[in-house]
Amino acid sequence: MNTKMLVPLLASALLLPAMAQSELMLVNPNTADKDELQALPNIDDEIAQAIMDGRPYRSAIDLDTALARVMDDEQRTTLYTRLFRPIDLNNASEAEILLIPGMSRKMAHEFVEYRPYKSMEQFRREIGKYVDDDEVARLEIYVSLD
Amino acid sequence: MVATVTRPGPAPDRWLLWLALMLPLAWMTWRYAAESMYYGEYLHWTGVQSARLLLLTLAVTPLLRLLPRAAAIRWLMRRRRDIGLVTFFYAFAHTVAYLVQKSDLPLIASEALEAGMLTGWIAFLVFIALAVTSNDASVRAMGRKWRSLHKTVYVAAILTYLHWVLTAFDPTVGYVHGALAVILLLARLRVARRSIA
Repeated sequence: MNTKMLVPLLASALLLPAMAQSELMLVNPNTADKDELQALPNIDDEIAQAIMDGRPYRSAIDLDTALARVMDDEQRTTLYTRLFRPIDLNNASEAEILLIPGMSRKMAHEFVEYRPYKSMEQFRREIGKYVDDDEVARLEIYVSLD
Repeated sequence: MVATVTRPGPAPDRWLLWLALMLPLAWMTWRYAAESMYYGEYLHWTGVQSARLLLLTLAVTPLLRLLPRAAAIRWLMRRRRDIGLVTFFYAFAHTVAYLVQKSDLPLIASEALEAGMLTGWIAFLVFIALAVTSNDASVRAMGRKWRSLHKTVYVAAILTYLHWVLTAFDPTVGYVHGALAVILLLARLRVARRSIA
């Protein structure tokens, strides 16, 4: 693993405990106001405005493409621990799943393997075979059943 | 008066063994069909049970050499073919669940080319050959070839454990089972060498 990948992973790992304390809530990039956005890591006035201008975000890829113009990989990975456009469990591409902070290729493969998901309970039990309850709860906030 | 010869049916212990080993599979399959068990859970459970039953099948001969007077081991030896057949039914359920879930021939074919799946498919094909010849008629008809064919269970076992470690999210348990299978294979080879000598 190169250092370029290691830094954002480390950053997200450091932020995870803080996230757990904030009851695992993510800011919605489609609805957050400017004050909410500016309270997030690596977001200044210019980036907050860019996020608001890029709406609506129909996927995490949409959001990532817009943010890639104003933030580097490390900054985006850190940001996604607090702000994210949840992925559609049944239709998201593997590249989109990999945008979830801390996501490995192996786990992304497992996400795809158990489709179609009919309920979040199914997601919890299938993914819960591999990681503990806290990690399932963390991953759950990044996904949705559209 | 015509004398009639009635062939004795399967021994009660044989029925009991089949019941004890097949009931869990029937129950889990029912739960899966009723959607109270999910695909990944069923796939994992059938796979693990199949691999464990396979270990038991492989362990019988080395155990008998180790404990030749133990009644339980001698009984296992008599029922080894039955345990092997039950193992096949668990592997069959595992494979059918996968095929039904995918329901897409090109996808199944492309996945079959990946090392993790290829090992599983080859092992399953060997198990089919072993299962269809696991009867007295085949033993009589095939003669010495039957023994040679059934020795391929060791190849299938190694492929099965490779399939496990290559496809598992966390392969640790697969490695442990695979290591046990290798130990049993080495023990079996030792038994075979002693028999030749």
